Amino acid sequence: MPIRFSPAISRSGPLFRCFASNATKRNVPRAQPQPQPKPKLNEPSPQKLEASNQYPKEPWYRVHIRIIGKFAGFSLILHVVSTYGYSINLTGGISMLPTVAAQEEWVLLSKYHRRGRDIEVGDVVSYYNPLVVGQMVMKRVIGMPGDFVLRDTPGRSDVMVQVPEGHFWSAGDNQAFSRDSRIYGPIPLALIRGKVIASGFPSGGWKWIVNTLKEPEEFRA
Amino acid sequence: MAPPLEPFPSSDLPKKLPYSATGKYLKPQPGPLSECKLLELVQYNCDLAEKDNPNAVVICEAVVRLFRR
Repeated sequence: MPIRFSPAISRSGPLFRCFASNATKRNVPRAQPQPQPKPKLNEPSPQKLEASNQYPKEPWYRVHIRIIGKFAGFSLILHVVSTYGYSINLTGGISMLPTVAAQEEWVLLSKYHRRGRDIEVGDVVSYYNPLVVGQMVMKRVIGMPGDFVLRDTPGRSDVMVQVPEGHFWSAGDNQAFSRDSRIYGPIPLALIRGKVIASGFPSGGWKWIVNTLKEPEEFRA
Repeated sequence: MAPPLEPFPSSDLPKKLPYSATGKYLKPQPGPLSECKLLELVQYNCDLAEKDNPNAVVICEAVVRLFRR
């Protein structure tokens, strides 16, 4: 087979290059250039899309700081609500029968009335025991500052006292088994934690604790 | 600590009424007790009906406190 020389090949390169190029062109079809899609202006590149699917890389201690911050925030809200709003406490004892059960009954305290704010005779309050540090008791208010009250159980003696300024006189609803002002005298108003407004059990049966001071249905001399 | 109290019989109440808790003479003077509003507060004496019976019920007897306001 005669070798044909074209003026262009002979001028640009060696002879074997001409054979190789001819064989390739004969067996393999020439690959047509594919049109490249033009990227749109607002469309992110594939690299950016892959990077956006990954979690942000941050130091390990930032996770701990975030958890501690959430816990501190929750604790702060809980503290403010339980100190200045409302709190639920478990009670025990027979001194407030039959108003509050002897055990496993919960009470709802209104902390607005703490330290004796807007407390009236007949309200049930929770206060710190003046004799036992840290112990809390729940009694009914019998006298406010300046009032004249019976010192002992009604019907047992007629000795009276006047409640001093800044103090109140308390008595449990179950007078037979109650340690109250009959034992430790007047109590500072600053010891009041709150006013009991409801009581009940977690399973249900909640009731309001109301002020029982009212006009008598009939006069008992 | 609470200040010392001065117990007195209930018959002396009209003599004590003109004075405040700090011992000051009140102005104006409160009226007679009989003209004040009468209120009552009922409390109880609750105890077991039979102390030796573990299934005994609690019986409450009313204790009435009368107030003048």
